Amino acid sequence: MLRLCTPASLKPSTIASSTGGDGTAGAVEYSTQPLRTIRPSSPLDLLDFRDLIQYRDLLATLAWRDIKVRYRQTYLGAFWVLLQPILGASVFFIVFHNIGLLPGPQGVPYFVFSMSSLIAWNFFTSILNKASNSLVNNSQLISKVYFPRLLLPLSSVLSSTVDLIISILVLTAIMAFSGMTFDYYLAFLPLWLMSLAMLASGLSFLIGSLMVSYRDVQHILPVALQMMLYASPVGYTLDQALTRAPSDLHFVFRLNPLSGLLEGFRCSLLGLAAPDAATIAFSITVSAIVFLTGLATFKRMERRFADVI
Amino acid sequence: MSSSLKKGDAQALPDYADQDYMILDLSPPPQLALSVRGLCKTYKIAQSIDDHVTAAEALAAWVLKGFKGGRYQDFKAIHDVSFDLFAGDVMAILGNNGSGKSTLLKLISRITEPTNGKIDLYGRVGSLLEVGSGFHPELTGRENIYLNGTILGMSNREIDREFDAIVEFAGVEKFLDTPIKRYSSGMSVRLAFAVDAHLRSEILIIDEVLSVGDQDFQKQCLERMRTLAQDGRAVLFVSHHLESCRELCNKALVLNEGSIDFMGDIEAGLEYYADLQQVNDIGLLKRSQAAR
Repeated sequence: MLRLCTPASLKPSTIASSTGGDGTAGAVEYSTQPLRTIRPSSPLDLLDFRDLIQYRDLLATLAWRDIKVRYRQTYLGAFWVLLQPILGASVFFIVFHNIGLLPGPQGVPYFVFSMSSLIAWNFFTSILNKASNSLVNNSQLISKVYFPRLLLPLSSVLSSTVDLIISILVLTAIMAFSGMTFDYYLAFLPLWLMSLAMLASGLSFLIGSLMVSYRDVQHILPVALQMMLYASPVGYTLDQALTRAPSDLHFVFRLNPLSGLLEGFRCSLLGLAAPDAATIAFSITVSAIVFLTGLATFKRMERRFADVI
Repeated sequence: MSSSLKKGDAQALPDYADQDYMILDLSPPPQLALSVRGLCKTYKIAQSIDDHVTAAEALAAWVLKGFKGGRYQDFKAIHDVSFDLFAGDVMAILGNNGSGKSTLLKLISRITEPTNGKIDLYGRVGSLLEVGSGFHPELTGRENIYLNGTILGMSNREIDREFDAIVEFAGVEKFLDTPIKRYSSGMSVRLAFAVDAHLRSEILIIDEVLSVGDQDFQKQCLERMRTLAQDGRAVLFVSHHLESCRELCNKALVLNEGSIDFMGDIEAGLEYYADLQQVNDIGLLKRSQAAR
């Protein structure tokens, strides 16, 4: 293009000025190709991994915020992570063992049994509660600034995992103290935990994105979780549940993916008999399907969050 | 360089009128920062049919609504907007309430998704948050700097590098390890803006943040924004404070009912906007007279 030249544009200083500045603001660099194009999304779009990776520090910071804020201005601080399953197990001990006369499985004290169940159960419910509510609780942020929305529930999964690891360490200490030993089943522990996390986070993606439009879900969730607690082998083993419950109710435990996962978790940690292969396969498959379905739903509803929340 | 031609340069220009040759402009063409093409955003707004009294009526209406897919009306918040923004440009977006300014900014910063059209971004976009929305009251000043920074898209490394500058800008050295909830509102506002102002993004979006803080701090903010723009950033600026628009911006875009009414120089833009408001006022007057 032919233009009338101005002396200012020939001076090298003006060309260099874009990289100079006062030193605090720093230079900026543009790319010649569009870095990103914003356009209406299609349902076929895949998960934007580039985005997630770019914001990975936010994931850690959000999880860290979650952990810190929970124990700020508490007297016992992080001890609550240990106290919760211990107190929960004590209640189970009284209700199921002392009153309900339910024995622990062979060679395992009932208290240790129920505590291990509760650790897995608490992991599951804490993901569900926190991740599902994370979108609504951070509606301020969602309507004000862009970041991959998936990070909110994911950060809850991360902070719940930190709690889980601490409580598993405490449980193993208690077990070692009471003279129990571990066997090679322990190597499968990550498998059960991964499946539990997938199941819980898949559900919470689903529930969380529903909650953005319909706050009703907020009221249903606690009730549903309470029912789930008794429909899963938490205070009792799957065997005990199946022998004591009327056979009309067996389908509840059979179709509950938590049955296989909880049994597997206890098998790895306490050295109990492993659940049969069909139960394991069923539980893990359902968890994977729930996770992918939740992710796809979240992806689809995500673009409306800022408009609806 | 589009930014090299500013008000002050006019006197420095020698008179080329008597020369009979032209010089090829060898300076690099202006760097495109952002280009918007055919952008539309349509909201569906429900038409209220709240004339039912009893629960049964409400239920019937609800069933009917579900049956017919509801009665919705399209509302075009942004309609067919296209423009380019170059490096070093500071563009004021002017318009009355409801003209689509905020929606446009939300589209560019990816908070909400366009219904149609596209936006090409040639750099990272950073938007100055409404003050404090990225803060958590229980966390300390130090923790909140990291929280707010990462929410804005910075990495921890970038925040490490800018940390001292942020603290100095906000003037909160003594209270870094105090929870934000114990800060005075002025202090938290300063801290929030300090984090925002150290974003390393090429495209900066500023929506009505200057209305906070005391006189001194506002001056500090304006100063900071001027340096940001001089470093070659492209800035989109929304404010009802026309004086700061005039001071900061070199371009203007006037929105009216979701479409671009005017685009060009800031002075001309402000003039156009003033005229537009006058026309609107006269229209309002006529309407209210007609109603009487």
